[in-house]
Amino acid sequence: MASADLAARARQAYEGGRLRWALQIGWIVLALFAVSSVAVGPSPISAITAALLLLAATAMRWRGGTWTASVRAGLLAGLIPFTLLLVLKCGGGAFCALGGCMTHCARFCAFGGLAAGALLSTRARRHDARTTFLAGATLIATLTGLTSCFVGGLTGMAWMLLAALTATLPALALDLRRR
Amino acid sequence: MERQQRIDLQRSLCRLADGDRAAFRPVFDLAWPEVQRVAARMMRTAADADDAAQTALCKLFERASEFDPARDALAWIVGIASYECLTLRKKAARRREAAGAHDALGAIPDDARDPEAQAIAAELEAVALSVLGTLDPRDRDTLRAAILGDASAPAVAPATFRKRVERALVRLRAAWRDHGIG
Repeated sequence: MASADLAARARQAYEGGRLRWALQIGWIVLALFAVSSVAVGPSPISAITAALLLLAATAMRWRGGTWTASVRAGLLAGLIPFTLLLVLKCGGGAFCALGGCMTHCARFCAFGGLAAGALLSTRARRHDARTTFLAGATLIATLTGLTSCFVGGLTGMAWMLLAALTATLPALALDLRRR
Repeated sequence: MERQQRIDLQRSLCRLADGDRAAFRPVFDLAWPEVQRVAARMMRTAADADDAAQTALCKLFERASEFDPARDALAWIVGIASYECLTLRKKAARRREAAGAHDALGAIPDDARDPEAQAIAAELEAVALSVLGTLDPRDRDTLRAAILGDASAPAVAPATFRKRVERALVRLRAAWRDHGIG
């Protein structure tokens, strides 16, 4: 077999293997969706968010380099709003007894997003391609958070997204200025 | 492989594992001769070695994303190539064993004309039936399905079926030995 043919076959095998490797993140996404469904209740929004998260994380892991690193960091940061909202939901009785259930939800979403964004800004310092890292990680963190944050309604989701973006903006601006 | 080439391979494979497609060609150029060398050492014929090397190379690239940078790239490549060659050798041995059993059955002169050959055939058949009779009915069915290509082969996964055939053959050999044959 000619070397070119063999190289083409090897390349095809590499891409196939890489896609299978990238798809392994599906177990984590599935676990997050399962926890969210059990704790908060099954919801089409949660399912759509989980599907988007799987799609984005798989594509970024398949692409490699900084994109792959941003998936890990994004998932970790996204766990902050995810857990906060689960805590709110599980301790819903106590929080809601204070009144303004939805207001608490929106606050938790915003605080979670802010914490996630701040964590990602700190982590971005370790990477050369900071803009790429921040863009990828913020997307993954937002989708991870939204898998449970949908209980805060559209306001909660918007707050989380806004807070995450706000927290990453200084790091992004600094990186753009350096260039 | 020279020291510098080994370092280059380590770096390139780390980059490829991280998703850097530009490292594909260097890894290919450095790994292919090593894989060929392993296959040539482990396989019996040049044709088998070539087939094994190509299969091993594809398997290697399929698993490149799983490569741990803490490991030695050359050792990792040789490990995968050796495993693939061993698997292919086992497959070939299994094929030869099955073909051998089929040939042995075909060699029994069931339509022999001279009385001596007829007597030998009859004796062999009697012993074979006697030995087979000592086996478990499931083993008998498995061997019939494997050797004669019986259409009523049990509906199990190919790997499970191969394992059953392997075990039945072991028990058949033991039974032949008990009859003082083999």
